[in-house]
Amino acid sequence: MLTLAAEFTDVSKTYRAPLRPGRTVQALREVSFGIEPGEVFALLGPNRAGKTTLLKVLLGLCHPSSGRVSRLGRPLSEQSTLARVGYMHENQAFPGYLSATTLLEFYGDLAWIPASILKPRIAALLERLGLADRAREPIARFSKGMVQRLALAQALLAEPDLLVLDEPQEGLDLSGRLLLQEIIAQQRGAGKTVLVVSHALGEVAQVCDRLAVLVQGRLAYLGSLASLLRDPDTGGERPLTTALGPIYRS
Amino acid sequence: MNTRRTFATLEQLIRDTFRQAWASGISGMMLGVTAICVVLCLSVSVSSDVVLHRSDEPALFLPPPSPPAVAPSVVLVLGSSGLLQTLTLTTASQTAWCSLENKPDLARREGIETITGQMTLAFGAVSFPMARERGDSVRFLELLLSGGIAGSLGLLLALVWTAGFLPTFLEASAASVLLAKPVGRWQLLVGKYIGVLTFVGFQVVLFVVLTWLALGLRTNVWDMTYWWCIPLLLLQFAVLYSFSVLLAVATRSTVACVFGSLLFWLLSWGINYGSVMARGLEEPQPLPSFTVALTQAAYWISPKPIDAGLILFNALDAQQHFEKPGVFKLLESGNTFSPQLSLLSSLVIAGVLLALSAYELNAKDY
Repeated sequence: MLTLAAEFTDVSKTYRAPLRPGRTVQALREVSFGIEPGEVFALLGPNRAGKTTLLKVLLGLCHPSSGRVSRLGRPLSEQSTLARVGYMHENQAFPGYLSATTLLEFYGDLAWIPASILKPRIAALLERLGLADRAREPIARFSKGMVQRLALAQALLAEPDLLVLDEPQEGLDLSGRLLLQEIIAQQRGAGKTVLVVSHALGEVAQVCDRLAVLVQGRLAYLGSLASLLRDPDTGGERPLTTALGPIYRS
Repeated sequence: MNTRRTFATLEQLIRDTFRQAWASGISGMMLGVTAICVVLCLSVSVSSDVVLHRSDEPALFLPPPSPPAVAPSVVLVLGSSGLLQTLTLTTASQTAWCSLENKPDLARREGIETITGQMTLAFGAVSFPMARERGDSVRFLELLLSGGIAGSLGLLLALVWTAGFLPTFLEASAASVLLAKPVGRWQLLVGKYIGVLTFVGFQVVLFVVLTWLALGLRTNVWDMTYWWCIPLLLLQFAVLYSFSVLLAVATRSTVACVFGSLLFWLLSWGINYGSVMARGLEEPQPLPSFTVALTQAAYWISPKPIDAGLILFNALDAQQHFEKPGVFKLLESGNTFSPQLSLLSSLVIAGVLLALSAYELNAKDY
């Protein structure tokens, strides 16, 4: 039987509304789907659709109110599976007093990467992401784009089987975006799973195998990009925004 | 997670705390305070002091706790001067001392060698007549450094300065990636707590050892009891900081941690003081049993800065040289005060607060 990289079964999440006692916000409503190993999976949806919440549930950052979630074929309670997961946060804040190298050493140790492997891997990653010349500089002096590149390096550090990217294009310039696409393709080539959350539909469409669309916490679409783009009336291909319009309004 | 990984995580968190402290300037400020105190100690000089007792005699010269405690030679000299004739031994020795202290010529005529020594601070800018021998003066300075500077001002500053460490660490945009690592949340929290304790412990050790060395070099008094203040101060900080940890987890706000910790410190003082006073009131005017139970309950579940002060006072053997403050006497009255229980209950409080923090962090959504 195929072990899914991630599996959500009837997952719901209800938050208490901040500063409004008794009021709740339902971020996820009985979401069920699975992500196969080796695929690039995109999670789309309008703002406040529950995309980031779903990622957080998968990473154990957020506790589901109900339902079951498995990560790399194991229940969420098995924290050791996180050693095989890389996560890039949508708005990452790194301690400004650390240098890129020290930061990656710190995260590498927490991800159980042996020291003998860690140092050459850090050097290679910084080189790949164009940060080698600033490796010893405090992060406080980094631009937004450089911080994003560093966040990507951090996510790739453990050579993860499951790479989770939340709005990875944010703050990246054109060369950074191209590099990101290259890295995602490379991950797929190596048989690794990539889960991308993004609102930059066009760029995600170019790299993903399948996608899910969340609207108001519900799974509104699940399938391949090709079937989403197929116009039911003409049988031809329609633009992604046109295809998503009726789903977002549903 | 095996032990090696746990220690590797702990090591990283400790190193990170030191880097954070250095980058935020807190390390520099603490080192600055230590440097000022070391310079102050290096500026001390003692001259013309007299050894008043042999090493096997109690350090107390006058007044004596009991007649045999007074150095025999001193009693003999005072007796022969004629000043003790109409007074009892204890009060006479005090009176005689006061009279002679201000009239060294008269004393000398009576055959009594009065102390004419001086202790100077700030490289001779400020001078004090020495009340007793140099060991006492050094002990006074050590009490001032450990109780007054490190134990009160230093402790407060350390609490305020380190209050921002955890909220920054737990901020959603910084912590999300950390919490997505294969390390338990409680391990990260306890690791950071130990990191801060290690940092503060390092600063305390530096402060005590350097001031001890400076005083020793200038006065040749090498009093090891001063080192007791290292574990005692660290324990006090550990208890107070555990509350700051709870606030950091609950609010992730530096401001809440700063003001909350200060409030908690003041409240602890109030509760500790109130319970001591309640104990003192028991004799002449017994308090209602409910009030007594309430103050006792509050006493056991809160940090005890006055107890800590007394333990420090006793650990430094200060009662040999100085009058014990009234609140300490009251605390020890009735023989119900147990330093071990006091310290143990403080440790339990720190443990409970940390456990609550870990539970809260574990339940939190990021």
